Parts: sequence; structure tokens; C-alpha cells
Amino acid sequence: MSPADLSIAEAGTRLRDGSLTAPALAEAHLDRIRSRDGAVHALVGLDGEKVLAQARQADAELRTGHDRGALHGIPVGIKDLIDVAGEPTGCGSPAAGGRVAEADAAIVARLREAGAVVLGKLATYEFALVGPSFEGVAPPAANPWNPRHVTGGSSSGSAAAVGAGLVRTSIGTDTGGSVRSPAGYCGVVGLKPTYGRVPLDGVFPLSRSLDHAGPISASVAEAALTLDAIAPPALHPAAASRIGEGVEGLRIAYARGFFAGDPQADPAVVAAMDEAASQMSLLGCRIQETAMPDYALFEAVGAVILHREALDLHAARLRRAAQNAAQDYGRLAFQTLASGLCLSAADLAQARRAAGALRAMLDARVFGRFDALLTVNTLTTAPPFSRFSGEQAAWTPMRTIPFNVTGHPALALPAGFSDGLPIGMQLVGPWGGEAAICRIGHAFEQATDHAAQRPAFPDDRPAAGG
Amino acid sequence: MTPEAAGERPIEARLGERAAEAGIAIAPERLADVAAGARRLEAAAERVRRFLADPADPAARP
Repeated sequence: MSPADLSIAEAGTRLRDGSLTAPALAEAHLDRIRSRDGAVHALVGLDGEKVLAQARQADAELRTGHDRGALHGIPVGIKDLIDVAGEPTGCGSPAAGGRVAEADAAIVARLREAGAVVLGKLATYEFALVGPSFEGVAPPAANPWNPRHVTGGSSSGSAAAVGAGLVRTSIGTDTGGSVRSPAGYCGVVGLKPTYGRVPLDGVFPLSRSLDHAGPISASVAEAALTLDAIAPPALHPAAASRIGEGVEGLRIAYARGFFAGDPQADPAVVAAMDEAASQMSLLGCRIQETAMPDYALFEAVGAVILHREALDLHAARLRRAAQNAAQDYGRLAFQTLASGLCLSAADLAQARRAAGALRAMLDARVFGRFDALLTVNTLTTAPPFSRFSGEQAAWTPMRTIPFNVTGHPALALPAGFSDGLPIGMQLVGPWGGEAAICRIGHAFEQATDHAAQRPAFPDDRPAAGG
Repeated sequence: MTPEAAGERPIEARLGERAAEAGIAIAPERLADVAAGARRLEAAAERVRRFLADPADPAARP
């Protein structure tokens, strides 16, 4: 077994008992990148020497008793929307102008304080707006389960890297589902925290009212540990603080009507969700089917806020792009941004007011009665690239943006497979309730084998002639 | 009701005007795509207005 396949906890034990060194762990991940990234195109920036230098430093600290915690010596990938000092923040776009970050984003600084090894920069849809795009200098990230299918986005590289086993945990951003939908499509775990829980200084913004940053990881426990490293501790209980506790008696609202009647919902996904609800009942949870406000209302509120705020954030760049074709946006990104011109400041103010009303509604009617809400992540498995023409911006069908609108924490995790592609579900909690949804998600993960499945790669096979 | 449904000028004309005000150039070959997205957003803004006007809207009730 490669050290790259050890969980964060397993690697941590071995780093501390001396049976594994941080440089050897980093080398195992670099080997994985060399052998597999050509198939998934997750990495957009990697300096192996810098990675190994960080690993040697982490190792030296552990040997002298300076233990920084769970992520000490663990490689972490960073979405290329997030500043890493001395590295370009490409944002997946020529319009970013190749700017080299002068300082680490707050998230990256916190990871370094936690002893993590910053592994490299991971692919993103252009400015986290829309994709996949076929106009970039590199091909879009591909799904580790089937490279003819998309990863989802915008944290496309973060999900592909974890799904392909290049790294155990990574950081993505989520404005409408950009951590959770790629995690779901790639069969890994994505955790969008409560709004405001993770500082966003040094993260290129998309929509300040909806932006979140969070981990994409190989398991719920690893996502929780990663979130606890990047979030200031005082605000809410640690996400990993209740992992391993039983879930008997917890009340879970099953929002089946939120997706099952949608004609876009794949029957295999609906069946997997019903199976997940049954499994949680077997674990002792009290499941009750619960109605939600109309999904289209959440999507309308989210779309107005996202498009108008994104236009305001990009206006100066759009003006510069008009003067310099080399710094122009791709077709889909431009289309998405410029469409926001039809929205007024009054439209934005109304949408923000509606978002507040929807949050209050969920707080009172769902989280006032239940410990968590169970619903689908995406309505289908990952679509094939052939479904995207590259000419019209389109969102794939999902149920993620409601919790950007309301700010509730949401955990995406594997719930099964259909035709060899992963199916994803979401557990949503009250504000600050990451510990509860990680507790439930971990219990579900342990009771099923969905998260243990990994796609096959040629380097899995032992060398012939042994 | 969306602006076009209320008798406003076509979205393409209004987008061109707002783009000029903002100093943003929309190339002619990109206008149809942008207009399609803008129509969807105007419908979304209208959906938000209806909700705020009547929060008891059945679609908004859990």
C-alpha cells in the first residue's frame, strides 16, 4: 500500500511513531501526481522541491517534539483561486494577468501554522464562474471515475485530485455548490462550512454574500480535520469533535420532495437517496420526510445575488479586457458576467432580503425541529463532456445553492454508484452545526462502503514479473 | 412581470446601453449568448419580487 493511501489519522500515527517520514509521504504523493495527473489534469502548479522542503521542515519539528496537530506533515492541495505566497494565482483565466501572490491567503497561513505541506495549485473553472471550458491553456480537469465525464466545478482540480488519490485533502471554494457538486461527481467528501466560518482574505471573490471556502477530502473525518485547521476555533464547536459518536435518536428531516419530482432527477439517484434515508434509520436516526420551499425560489435568489455581485467585482477587469484581447475572458465566463448587467442595485437588495427570509424560514421550520436535513447533492451523476458545447453557460442540476443563500453548513458525501459513476448526498445542519453533520456523515460512511470505493488506475496493478 | 413582458425595449438594446454606461464592450458575436443569460436573470429577479410581495406564496412555504 502506498503511503499516499493512508488516511490523515493513519499517516499521522506513522509520522509520530517514526515508521514514516513527512518527506517520504510527500514523495508518495508526488509519485501519484506523476503517474495519474496526466489522466485527470487536476494540477496547474507544482514545485516538487518546495513541497519536499516543507516536508523536511515538518519532519524536523516532529522529531524535536514540536507537534502542530492533525495536519502536521500532511500534504494539502489548494484551488488556484487562493493565494499562495510566491505563486501565481491563475484563477483559470488569462484575465487574471498572471499575478503572483505576495502573501498567503488566511487559509493557507492557517494550514502552514497547522504544519500542513502545501502541495500545489489545483484547477478551477474560470474565476469559479462556469465550465467546463475548452478554451484554456490546459484541458479541463477530468473525472477520475471516467475521464470522458466532467468533474463538476468550480473546484474541479480539488475534487479530481482527491478522487484520483493524488492527495487526501484539498481546499476549494463554494459559492453555489463548487465544493459539493465536484466532490459528489468525483465520489469524495466536500464540506461547505457555515457562512463566515472560514476567513476569505486572499481568496479571489465571486460573490461576497455567497462565498465560502471548505475542504474536499477522502473521508468525512479528514474533511472535518481540514476544516478545523482552516477555521478559527472560537466561533463554533470543532467539526471533528463528535466524529465516532453514535447517532441514535438524532432527528433528520428528509427533503425528498426537494428533488424527487424534478424531471431532471435520475431515478438511480432518487433510489440511492431513499436507500441512504433507510440506512440512517437503521443507524437509529429518526427520519421524517419534510417539505421545503420551492427549489426554484432559492435558485432565483442565489442567481440574482451571484450574478450582480460578480459583475461588480469584475467590472474593472472587464473594462481592461475590452482594451487588451490577451487578458480577455473566455466565452462562458464573459457571458455569465455580462448577463448581470440586466440586474439593478434594487434587484440585488431585494434578493439579499429574500435570502434573509429564507434563512429564517429554514431555521424556524427545519432546524427548530431537526438536528440535520438530508437531501440530494446533484440530481444526476457526472455528465459527459460531450454534453457541453462550450457555447452556452449552464448549471448542471443540483440542490446546493440553497445553502449558500441561507449560509447553513452542508456536507456532501458519497451515497452510491450508477453506471460506474458516484452519486452524492448532502447533510445540512443549523448554523455552526458542522460537528453534528460530520458526526452523522461519518456514521453513515462507516455503515456503507460507498466512500471506500476508489477508481482504478494503471499504477494500481503490481508490476509484471514481480 | 419581467421588463420585456411589461413592454420594455428588447433585452439586447438595454444590455447594450448598460454595457456602454459601464465601459464594458459586448462584441456582437457574444450578444445573443449574453442576452439569453440576462433573460433568465430577469425572470429570477421577478421571482424574487413575487416572493417578497407575498411571502405566503405557496411555493415558498415548507
